[in-house]
Amino acid sequence: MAHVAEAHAHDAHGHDDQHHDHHELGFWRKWVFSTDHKLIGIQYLTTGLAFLLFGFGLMMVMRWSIAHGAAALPEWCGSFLHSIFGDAVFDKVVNSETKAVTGYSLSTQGYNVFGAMHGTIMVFFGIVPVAFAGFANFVMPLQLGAIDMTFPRLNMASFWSFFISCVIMVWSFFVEGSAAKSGWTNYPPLAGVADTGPALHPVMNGGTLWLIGMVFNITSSLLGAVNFITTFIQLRAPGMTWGRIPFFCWAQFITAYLLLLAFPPLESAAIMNLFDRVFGSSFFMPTGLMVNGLGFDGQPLQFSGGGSPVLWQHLFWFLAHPEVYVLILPGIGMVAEIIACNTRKPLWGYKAMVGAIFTLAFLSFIVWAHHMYMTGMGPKVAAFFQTTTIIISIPSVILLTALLLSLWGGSIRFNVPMLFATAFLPMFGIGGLTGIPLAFNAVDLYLHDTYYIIAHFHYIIAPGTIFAIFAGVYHWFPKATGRMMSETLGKLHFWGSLVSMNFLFMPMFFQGMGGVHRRWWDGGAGAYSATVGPWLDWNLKISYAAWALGAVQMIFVFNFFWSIFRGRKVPNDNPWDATTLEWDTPSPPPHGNFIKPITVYRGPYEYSVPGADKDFTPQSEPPAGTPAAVPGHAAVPAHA
Amino acid sequence: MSDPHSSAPAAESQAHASTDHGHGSYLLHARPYFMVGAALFIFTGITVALSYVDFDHLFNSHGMNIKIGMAVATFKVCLVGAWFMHLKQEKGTIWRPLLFTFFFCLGLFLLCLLAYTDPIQTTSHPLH
Amino acid sequence: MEIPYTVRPRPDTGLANPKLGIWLFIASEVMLFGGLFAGYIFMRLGAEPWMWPHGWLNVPVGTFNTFVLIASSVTIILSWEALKMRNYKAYKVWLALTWICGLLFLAVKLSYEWPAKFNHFGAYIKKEAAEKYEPFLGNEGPDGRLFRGLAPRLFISGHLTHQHSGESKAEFKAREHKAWADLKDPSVKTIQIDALDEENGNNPKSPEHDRAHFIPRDTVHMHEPVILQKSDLIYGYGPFYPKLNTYLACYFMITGLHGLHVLGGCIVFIYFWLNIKGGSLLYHTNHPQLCNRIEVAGLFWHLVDLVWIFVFPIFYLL
Repeated sequence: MAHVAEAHAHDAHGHDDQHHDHHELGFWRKWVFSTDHKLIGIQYLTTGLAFLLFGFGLMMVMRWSIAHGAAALPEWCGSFLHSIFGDAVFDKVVNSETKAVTGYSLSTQGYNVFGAMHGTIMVFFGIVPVAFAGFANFVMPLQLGAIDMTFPRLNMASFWSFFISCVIMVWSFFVEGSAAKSGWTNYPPLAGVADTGPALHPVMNGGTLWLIGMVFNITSSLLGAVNFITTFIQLRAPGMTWGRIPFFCWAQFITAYLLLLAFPPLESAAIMNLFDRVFGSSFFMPTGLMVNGLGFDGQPLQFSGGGSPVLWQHLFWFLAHPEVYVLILPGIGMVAEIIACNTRKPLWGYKAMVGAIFTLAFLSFIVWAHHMYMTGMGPKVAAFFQTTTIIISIPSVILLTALLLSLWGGSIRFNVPMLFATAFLPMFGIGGLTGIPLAFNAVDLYLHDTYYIIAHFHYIIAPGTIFAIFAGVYHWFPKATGRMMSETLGKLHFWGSLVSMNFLFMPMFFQGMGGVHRRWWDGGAGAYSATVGPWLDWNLKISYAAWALGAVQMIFVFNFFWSIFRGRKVPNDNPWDATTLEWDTPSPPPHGNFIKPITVYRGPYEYSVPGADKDFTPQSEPPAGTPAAVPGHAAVPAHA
Repeated sequence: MSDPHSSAPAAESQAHASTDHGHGSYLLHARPYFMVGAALFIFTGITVALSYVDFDHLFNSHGMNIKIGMAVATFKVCLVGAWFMHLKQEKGTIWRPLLFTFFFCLGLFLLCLLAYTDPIQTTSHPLH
Repeated sequence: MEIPYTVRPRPDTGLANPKLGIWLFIASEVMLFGGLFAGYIFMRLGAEPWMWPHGWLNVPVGTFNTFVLIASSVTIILSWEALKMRNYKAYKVWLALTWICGLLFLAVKLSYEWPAKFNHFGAYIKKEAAEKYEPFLGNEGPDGRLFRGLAPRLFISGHLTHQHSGESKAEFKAREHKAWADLKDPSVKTIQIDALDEENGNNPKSPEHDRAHFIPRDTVHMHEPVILQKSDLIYGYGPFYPKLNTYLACYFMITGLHGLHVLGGCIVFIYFWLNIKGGSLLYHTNHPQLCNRIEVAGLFWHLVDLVWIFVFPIFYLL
């Protein structure tokens, strides 16, 4: 009786989840609506990289406006851009005598549109999908020895929610009035009134679509974060104790926690802003607000009042501060892996680094108002946030120092991933250290909203995280495709990017200290030349560096696609001679990832172990002299 | 004759559905739930009753009704969390991050309140 | 090749995947509602002290709804216990009671509470024009609000129309429709109110109106309709919509989002309750997995109850 019942239960298990393994999948289930983490990771990566390019393109047009003001764009792009984006964004440049249209220039409103969307796209549609969702999806289950993520269907749902948000954001460029224009930070009261009015649709306008797109994006990140945390805790291979987990996975785990807890207040703020725009409520509209050109001039705006614009700032920055750590931690994780692999020695201070990211994550929730020093904060609250902000610099410095010390005494091979990873260190150092003065509100009083801030955060994200992303792409490309990317093109890409990025962002520190403000459509040449005049020459030079940087990225794009088809095939599954578990799979890994059950016997960075016969020992290699342990005992049961 | 059946009497009774068990058996474990449920009902009534008492006047302080109401609500939430959501028996992996969540949530409220109640009063500029 | 630990817990962590997953989701929901409550805090602090409404919501109905939700929290956990002990009948009965309670909660909210707001008219009077409406505001003179040291009342509310005796339902509906339409019509300069709320229509100076009442009071039919000039009113006059004031904005947003969560929970419970492949049929094929599913859904449902435990006093009582 009992045996029959048990046998019955056994059969039944096969029919529950993942039953699709038993039969061949059609094209759509295999290549589009896949639940396999590797494909979902690639979907996030490619979408994210495309958006990075798009956001970068927006900025290149903005740099023309900064350098040349209202002068017409070059012919080869002016009318083309105007035909795509329309009159809301591009003005016609008219010859005053002949009245003929000689070209198109970015209008002032267009500059605001491109500026707001550049920020939004790069942060939420570029870096987070690539560095977090893309790489973590592809690499983390492999590094943990898992066959997939804990909730594969939820993973797929997260990607498609993200995709919907991408469609909405792109669509917002093509509605009346074009896309959101109140900054990536979307401060009210402007955020409540921009893109509203009799000529505009109540919902299909840039500002409202931005909010709806953000809600989908946030939902996607939240569901993804649940998946990553459960995978990290539950699906580690047998023998993978906490101290044997590669630092990349720790970094992604903490990033997932930051997203999980910090994103929802922004979602609630976005819902409140949607209420304000669609239902006319006054969550963020203060009493007695008057806006020129809206409502009757001199009359208060048509809102009930009683709202608080500063509430939006609190809720936004409650997310956006942990968000900046979301932007950097996956990068640090990738750089750590690549440095260990290419110095042929273990990471220095692995435990300190893990402790540092825990501390960083905790503190990041109580520092947000250092973005709000200009909102009229009194001494008590300002002192609190200055103190916590200074304290949070300590874990960041620990991370950077540990990575630097990891280079010491290493036998370094400067392949392309290592070039990017090594350059990351001083670049992130510059970005991080220039942030320390900003922790003090007395300094921030002067530097807030100037180009100093732009240089500070771009140094961290651009030659920081984006270099880490490039390093990750070059490093894991062979695993994902079975081919190597071209070293020569990679080195050209690296040096071109490094030089142009520094020419692009370094002068901005000095411009900022000289008083050049953010978000000036003409770089200050019009109204402010008297105060910042000496710095305006730099605008054109910086723009040249930006355009050069854009040109150099074409090398990467070409290399990426060319290598998929014509790249040199990998000599074996582990071309970098790395120790972590993802290199124990075929390149590219099949569905189910591992062709034999995996047990972990050692730590993740067993490089150059004295007395060993090779300079690296994979994590899954049994200790010398013992037979391979019989898999499946303490392990993954065959059925749950 | 005795072999196939006597070997697994326990498994047999487990494999069968509800007929072996009376309606009472699951209710044996249910007593804490009924008690917590009753407590929640009672404290809801208490919350409503307390809201009609003017504590601000009694304690001569501002916002006392809100504080008392929130204290009762927090107590009820703890009852639900501990017994209905089984947090009392749950692993540390579950309730430790939850503790952090509540800490961050409180941080959001309290720091926002601090910012609200602590604006710049005046400048030290000689002319203003 | 199945994902391990989807049903049985992992030995070293002691957890099964769905339980960990739902607790993480619950943590994020706590932060979501935390953000919304932070909004409420700011709105309340930012309002003039006298302007935050009290007594606009029906406390007995709200208390009833609270009892319904608490009962559903008890029934879901009984359902889970019964399921674990393999009492199929009891499991189904308690589970059905759970989603019935959930739908009852929504029905009360959507058929009574929210429409009661939408059918109610309210208007804030501009300070300069307050004297004209003094008979309905009760601010001046001995026993007036100002005399008693209270802030002036500047709000008039009630029902625009009231069914007169002898009037047919159709006529009344037509009149009601026209009254609401006239609000938006710029050529109509006045608003006529047939029935006022007690504090406006029944001796506005009485100290009775200064305290909260448990039993909600009816509107007062006015012998002569009250006429308001639109130009004397602050923008947003009309039904009790989010745009009228920040209290209503908070109320609709928070109860709306909470209601969506109740609806989501009910849908999930109905799905599990039905005899379908992912639902109650699992009782026979994979009993532990069904236990997990009910437990996980129950945890979500308890979160929904938790949020309501805070929402109820904040909006109805304080």
